[in-house]
Amino acid sequence: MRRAGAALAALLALVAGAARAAEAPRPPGTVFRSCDDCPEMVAVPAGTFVLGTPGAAAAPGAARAEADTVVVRIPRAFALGRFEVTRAQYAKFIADSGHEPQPGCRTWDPALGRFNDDARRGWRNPATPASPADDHPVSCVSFADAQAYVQWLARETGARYRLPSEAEWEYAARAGSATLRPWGDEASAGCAHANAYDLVADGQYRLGWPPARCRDGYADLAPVGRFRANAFGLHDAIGNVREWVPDCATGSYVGRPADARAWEWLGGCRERVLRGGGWHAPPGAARSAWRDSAAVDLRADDAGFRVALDFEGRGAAAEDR
Amino acid sequence: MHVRRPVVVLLLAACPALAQQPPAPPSAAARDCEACPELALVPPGQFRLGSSPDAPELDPTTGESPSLALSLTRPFMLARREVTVAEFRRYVEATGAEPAPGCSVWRGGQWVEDGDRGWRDPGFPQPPRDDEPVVCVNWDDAHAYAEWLSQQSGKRYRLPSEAEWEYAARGGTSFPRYWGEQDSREDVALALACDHANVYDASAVDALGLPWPNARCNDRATMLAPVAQYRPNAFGVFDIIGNAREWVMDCYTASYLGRPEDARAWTWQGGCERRGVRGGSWASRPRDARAPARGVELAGHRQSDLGFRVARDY
Repeated sequence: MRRAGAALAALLALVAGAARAAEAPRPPGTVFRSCDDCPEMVAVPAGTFVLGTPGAAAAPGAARAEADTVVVRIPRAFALGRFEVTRAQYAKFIADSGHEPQPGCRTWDPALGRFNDDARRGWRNPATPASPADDHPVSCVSFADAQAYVQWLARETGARYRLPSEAEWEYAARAGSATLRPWGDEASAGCAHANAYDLVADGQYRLGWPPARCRDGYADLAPVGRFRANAFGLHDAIGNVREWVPDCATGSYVGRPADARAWEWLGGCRERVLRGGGWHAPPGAARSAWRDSAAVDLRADDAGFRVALDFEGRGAAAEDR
Repeated sequence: MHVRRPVVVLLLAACPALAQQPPAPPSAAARDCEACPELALVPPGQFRLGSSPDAPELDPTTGESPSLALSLTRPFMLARREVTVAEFRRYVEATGAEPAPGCSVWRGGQWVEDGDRGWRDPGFPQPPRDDEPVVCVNWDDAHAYAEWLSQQSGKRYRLPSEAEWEYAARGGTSFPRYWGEQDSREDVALALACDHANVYDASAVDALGLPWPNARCNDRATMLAPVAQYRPNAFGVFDIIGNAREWVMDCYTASYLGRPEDARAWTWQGGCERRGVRGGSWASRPRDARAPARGVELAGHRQSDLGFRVARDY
């Protein structure tokens, strides 16, 4: 599972009294992976950005929290999954770890005309898509399932894998943009960039909210990486699956850390944040600043995650340039 | 009503002591330690933290709405009085934990940061009396004071949580001012304020000239008043509205959405810069001197209308 050379690094680390095989810092934009079955990562530069939506009142779908914008500094470069974690990657984790998620998934029930917790569904058979492939993002995973995956990945690789914080997520999704979406303000210009709720999805599912006025070619989940990357090299940050982050749900950003840390309560919380919107996200939710939240045990057919990684070793603590 | 009233009058006539407000003399035996405050037992119950969106004096910027149904499953103890100058002096002398000088004081029509002021001299016309609430103390000072009480008593003293504070401040009512009627409009409830709370009233208008309306009554206290000069609420707690604003334990964010649905303090991993401040003061806008009104200060801030009271687990 380990890369060539990792064995030596592990040995050196053991000699030094540390059991970790660190991932050394890489220049921004570098694509790499810690092992053959590991998610492909892209190095993200340090930087500063505005979390939230300035003048949120004018942004369709904007919630109160987005209006309390915070200038956030990401003090160190880090790495983020280029893609959402795939079914193949998740299957490897399940096979190796023995983790078995609870059955059940919230899926669209065409007969009922609403979302429904279906005990027969789960990440193996999510209903959407009808024929899930290895390179579809894993869905029907709870926050705890996502946490279990990154903890396993960190153990397996000896590198500091974790979930991205909400601030890191939005920083990377924006990739330097200050518009509502990484490609601009218009949802209807997004069909080459994001698999959100579009005319194709609406044609098949009729979820009951307005679609983006364009066709992205997918009625529900798309395999990862089929849409254009943003300026940091990330695919599918907007759309496809909503992505779990460890931040607790709030109605306001006032008081949150102004750095990359996740905002979590002492004593834990019942609801965590989901970012990016999924394949059924209406235009108002398929945005960089959109915050969604759900009970930590929710499994839904549009909820997955991507991983983050802290660099270690020489240069990892370098401040932004 | 017609049947009962004469009975009450008869009872009061027969027992004159009951006719007066029982001021419940401090009993040393009830205290956890010599330096410890007299405590009120606040019973468990359910209440609504915050205000409905159409509340008459709602401040939409501070997150008191939307409100949240909360359950206090256990009773807790709350100090009947704000911590006084004498009590705080005793702590400083015992521990040597003298707060750094510097306090924001009201001068020339605005709050001015004055490096020479502090809890010993908050910049009032007269030096502070021993029985006035201590002010010019920051959140860390207040927190450290509670820790010291814990060491002295072996009990777990702390600042009240924001939810505990508001529950206690409502005094068993659902009103924004416990003495108010269901109709809580400023003009109605505030006209009665001077019996219950040291708020910004007619007595302070000439001296302070604050840029907001005053309560239409006169309590003859321009700035701070000694503690427990006004009527207590149904839990036996004095000055919870008005006099000095009070630090609470919670970190502050401008919405209750996502907070724990019990009375625990809402605090972040890694700490927080801003803490909740409650109750309003002698200088507050009337709408800030209500049970559900939420205030916030940087945890290191000291101001001459900002003090605290302590709580402890039951």
